[in-house]
Amino acid sequence: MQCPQCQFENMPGRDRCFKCGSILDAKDAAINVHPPRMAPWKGPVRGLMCRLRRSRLMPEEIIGDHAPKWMKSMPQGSLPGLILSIIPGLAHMLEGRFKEIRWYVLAWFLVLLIGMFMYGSFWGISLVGLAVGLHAYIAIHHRLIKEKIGFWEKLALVAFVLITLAIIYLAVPRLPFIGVRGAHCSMAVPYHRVEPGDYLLARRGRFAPTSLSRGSLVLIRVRTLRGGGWAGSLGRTQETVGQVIGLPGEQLVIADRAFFIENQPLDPNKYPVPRWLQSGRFSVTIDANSYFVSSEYSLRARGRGLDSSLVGEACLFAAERIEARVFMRWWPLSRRGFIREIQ
Amino acid sequence: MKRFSRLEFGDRNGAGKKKADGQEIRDEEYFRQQAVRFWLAAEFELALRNYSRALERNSMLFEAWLGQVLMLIELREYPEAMVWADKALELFPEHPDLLAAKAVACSRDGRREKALAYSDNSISKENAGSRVWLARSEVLLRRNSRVAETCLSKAVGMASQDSAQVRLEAGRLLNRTGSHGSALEYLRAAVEALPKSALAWYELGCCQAKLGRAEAEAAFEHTLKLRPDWEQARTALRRFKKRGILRKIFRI
Repeated sequence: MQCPQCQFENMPGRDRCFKCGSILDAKDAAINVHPPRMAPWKGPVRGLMCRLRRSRLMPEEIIGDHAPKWMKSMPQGSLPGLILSIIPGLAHMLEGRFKEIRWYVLAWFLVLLIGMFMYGSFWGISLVGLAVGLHAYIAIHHRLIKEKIGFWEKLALVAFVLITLAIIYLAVPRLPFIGVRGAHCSMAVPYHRVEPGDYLLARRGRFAPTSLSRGSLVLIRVRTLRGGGWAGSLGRTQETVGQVIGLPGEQLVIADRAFFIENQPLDPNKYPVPRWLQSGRFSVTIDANSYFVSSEYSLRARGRGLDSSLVGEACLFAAERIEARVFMRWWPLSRRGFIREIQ
Repeated sequence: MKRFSRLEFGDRNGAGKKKADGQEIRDEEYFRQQAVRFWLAAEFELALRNYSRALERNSMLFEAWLGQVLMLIELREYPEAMVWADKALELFPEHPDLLAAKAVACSRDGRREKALAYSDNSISKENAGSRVWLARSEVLLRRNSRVAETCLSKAVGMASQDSAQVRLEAGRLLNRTGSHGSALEYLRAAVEALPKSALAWYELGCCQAKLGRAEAEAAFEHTLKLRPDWEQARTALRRFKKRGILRKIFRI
């Protein structure tokens, strides 16, 4: 067979030219002559990426030679699809393929809704996890599930998408314009109808020293202190809920299972004393930019006795360290409701 | 250059092949010519379709494969153009024009290193033509290289039969990269050779508008006369008419 390009005489039965590699029977073979086309929604995304590449704000090749095999095997155009799939089904919808995935999107929506409704309980957290899994499936389905990549590559890709989505799900409620945080409470405050283990919602914000009132429930991050071991229950930094007892500039005394501010006792029903402060008498002076926040901290003092200075170290929080103000009891459902300030 | 060697423009070279009843024979050559006409009218989508139809008749028509890649580039579908250039390279391995087209696609997509590599490869081939040198100058212009204009001159110098198209491409390239003064010369020559090309007139208008010349208005109007439905040209004309007094005085 003679090659149409270089006129080399090939052996019969060959598909490609031995000399130049061109297809020998191209005229007879059915060749697809219609080029692939860009979906209209990709235009702006590509335009932006092109501009970023030209201005050297983005590397020319995101997936370079050093990238793992599964990442290299990703077909062209997967990344915009994956990015758009942050909203489940959007990439499918823009390509007119929503029908393929509609039941998964519906399932994702319902599971997420129920999960959020029950969030704070074991089942609520499990359902939100399931929603993340469904979301990952939808994102991967858009391009990759039918690609010819190996099992382990596919598994690695699923893990990558799952982890990315889990991070997004954790990050979204913390965005400044949403700013809702949640935490389990470790103390009981009868006035607020809060019990240990309740899941409370807090709104993020920086507080000026005068903006918090006595009795407010706040979200704080407890950290390990130097020389000691004054920490959360696991001995590392963690978010917990505490109650503001002392305001800036006040003198606070803890004695007889009650708080005293400037020698005036506070109602234990409204301002309960945590268990670890119920034995002994402690006196703390609150400086101008701090609050005394009580909570059921677990004491892990190593070679250091519980005294007023240690109590002050554990419970005094500068205004900027108070992360959010609690505004709602979310779980259990029987006690769901807004938390009001103590008058 | 091969691609335009058998091309007929307007009434200069006469009509295409005709049947006994006077109708034109719709073979691959007919659709290829139609595609070039649409390209010169800046109707890239239609040009692409006509190249596809030409390939439906003859899948080994190189000009149509190259034309498809170039139209995808014109439509700013660079990844698709690269994929399609790869497919064409399977049929025509190591063809310098296809490699050059791929270099252009990479360059416009912001992939400078890849573009340079493909351009190097295309230049190393024996039968590198004006298309290859045009692509080379585009790749180098985007890298702010001084050699780019030499490459462009070489490309124009190499073009013989289809020098008008090459001049138009050269003018468009310079216009796109901001060298409006140099572009004007090429575009004027292109317009003289291709007076029925809306694309050439539009590019000339854009170039003159960038230089602040009042002739731009006439060029845009002529473009709209040739292709009244071209919204882009209408917008350009409207913008040119509405430009501020400072722009008129300082010609910016």
